[in-house]
Amino acid sequence: MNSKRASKMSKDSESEQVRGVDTETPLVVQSALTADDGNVSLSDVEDARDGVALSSNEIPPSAAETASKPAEFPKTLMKHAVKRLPNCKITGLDYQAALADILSAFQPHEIKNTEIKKLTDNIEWVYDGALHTISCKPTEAGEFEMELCVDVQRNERHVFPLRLTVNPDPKTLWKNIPSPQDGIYSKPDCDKAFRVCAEDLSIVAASQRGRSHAQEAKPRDDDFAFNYDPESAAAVLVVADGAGSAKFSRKGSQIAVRTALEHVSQVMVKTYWDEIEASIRKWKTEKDSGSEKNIQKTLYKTLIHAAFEAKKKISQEAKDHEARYQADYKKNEKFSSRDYATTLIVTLAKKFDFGWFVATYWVGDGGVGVYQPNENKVILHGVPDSGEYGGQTCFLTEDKVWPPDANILIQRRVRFDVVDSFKAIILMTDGVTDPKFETENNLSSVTHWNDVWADLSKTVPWEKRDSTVADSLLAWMDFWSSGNHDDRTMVVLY
Amino acid sequence: MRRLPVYLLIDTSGSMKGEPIEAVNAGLQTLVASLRRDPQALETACLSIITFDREVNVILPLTPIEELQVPNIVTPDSGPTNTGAALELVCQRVDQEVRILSTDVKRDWKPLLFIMTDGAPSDIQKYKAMVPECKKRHFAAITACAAGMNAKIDMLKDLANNIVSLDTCDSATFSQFFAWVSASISSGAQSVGVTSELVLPPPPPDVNKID
Repeated sequence: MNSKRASKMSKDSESEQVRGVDTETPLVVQSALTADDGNVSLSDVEDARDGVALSSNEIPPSAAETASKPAEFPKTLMKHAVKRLPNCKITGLDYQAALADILSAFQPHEIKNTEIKKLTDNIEWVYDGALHTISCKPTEAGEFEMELCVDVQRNERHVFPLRLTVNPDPKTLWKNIPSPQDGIYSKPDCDKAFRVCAEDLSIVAASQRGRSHAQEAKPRDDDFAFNYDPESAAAVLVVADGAGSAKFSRKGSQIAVRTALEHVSQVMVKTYWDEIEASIRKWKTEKDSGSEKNIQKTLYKTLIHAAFEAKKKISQEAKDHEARYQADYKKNEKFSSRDYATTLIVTLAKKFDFGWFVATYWVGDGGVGVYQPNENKVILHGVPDSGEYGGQTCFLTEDKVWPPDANILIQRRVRFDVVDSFKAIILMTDGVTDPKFETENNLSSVTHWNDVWADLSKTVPWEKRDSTVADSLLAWMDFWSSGNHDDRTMVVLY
Repeated sequence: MRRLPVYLLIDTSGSMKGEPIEAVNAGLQTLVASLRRDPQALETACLSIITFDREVNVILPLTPIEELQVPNIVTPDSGPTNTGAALELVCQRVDQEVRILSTDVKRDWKPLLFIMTDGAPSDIQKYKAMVPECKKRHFAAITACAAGMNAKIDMLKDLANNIVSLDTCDSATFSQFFAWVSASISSGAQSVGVTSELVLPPPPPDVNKID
């Protein structure tokens, strides 16, 4: 409609005046409206602001022809300060912003027309005059400018410049750069394994490098290991999460899982179980402290010794590396087990005719649970280590997790239970627990475990009991969770 | 959602008027624009801006990058530099805004503090009292920037674990400084540092590191 009205423009109605610049007193450019579309571009306004008078030559001839007719179109241009709309969170989403607060400056009856003029390409605006909203669906990130033009009865056109920031979709910003496979302590960026243990009993494991590492071509710091001994019907499950701040933690986690697995497998032979079976059986019904002490004593020799062996092996590796470094580079450089800092969770599960005996050693974050949905129950198998702030935890390699008192060590680090059955025993690093459970309270809530299991089961065909289960678990680990891009590792006995 | 809280304290005393503050405004725009392009920062970093002159003001409360709109900073014509009051305010804000020690809520990463000044604290008693208070807030790093020749570096040494100086307060230098701040925030967003201190990236040529 503006272009039609522009042609009726009267030369007499033009007078040139500039009033003000800020929000309260809008910049007024009268008769700057000489362009034949009835609109004034930003540059015209700026010219006027600079005091550059617009030449009457710019008036189209048609305007002179219709000079005698009364002016119907807005002739006074009032330019307001730039207003920023709330940011559009990411590209590809429907965006809507309310303009009611701008329009509330006018009485509804005095508004003759409102329209949106876009000043930036690659965005399509839809203006809803009834609801006073604008909406769009940005396909690219950046800064977008437009103007809300309001024509009011007193022959004024109010121009409100609007700006919108559109954030990129973070998913499009992440890069997946392979880690160097020929460097020191290199390891594959993902790993997976599957094993059939018995009828209706399998172990599946997967470990996926996090996006934060993939972005920088850094290696995966997590690791896992497991074993099943058919003779004694016992499984050992291990996960470890190397500290992001430690430069060789990828090796630390690898040494930890391998050493722990090796040690527990060596000790946990038939005679070992013969030794404590009676205590476990008795404890199941009586929960007596005598049996408890017996069980703890044997677990000290298996689980705690295994963890301690892992710690020792890591210190040894630091020393060896220091020696190699000196031999290779003729340079003194100090390395300590701090450079190999890692968490560790070791769980063993053994089937008896009276139920399953499950025992865990746990240092650091992540989580391990005995999931029993039939009883609407999950046993969080230990206590995660966490600090005041996010990401703070304890590591196997730290002296403070090794108090000299064996009882304190057992009380704090080892937990055992006897259960009739379970759906799954699941070990996870914090790359999985952080996004899926968020808080420590949720980690012991069966509702949250049900949700995670349901989510897993959408992708993972548990009942297939072959290597495709591991493929699916690894694929599931690629799930998107904003701000959670650590390495993710799971070992599941089910 | 685990956030990385970042506090920027900016000297807006009279001496910053003119080109310096315009350079800061431009620098902040660039800073936020580059954080938007870093996926880790875009998803985790939250920014707060506090200005200090005679008054101290939270001109931007802790806001996620995706929602953030950079406010325009203005300076008075003259007046004191109440750096101590600014530190007091940032401690209060950290206590209010940063989520720690809870089993119900996801804990934040340790916050980062950047302070930029072109002079010396006018409220020296309060400044000295607030330095240990700041230390108690467990910032992953406190970085001070002494902008221009009149900035008193010695005063900053008690407070900050990283100090940089800018020879001039022009827009080219500030733009380098803010680019470096942005890189530091990105590396903070990535660092899952627990036991070790946050290591900041090496500063650009016109930003001099002071040991």
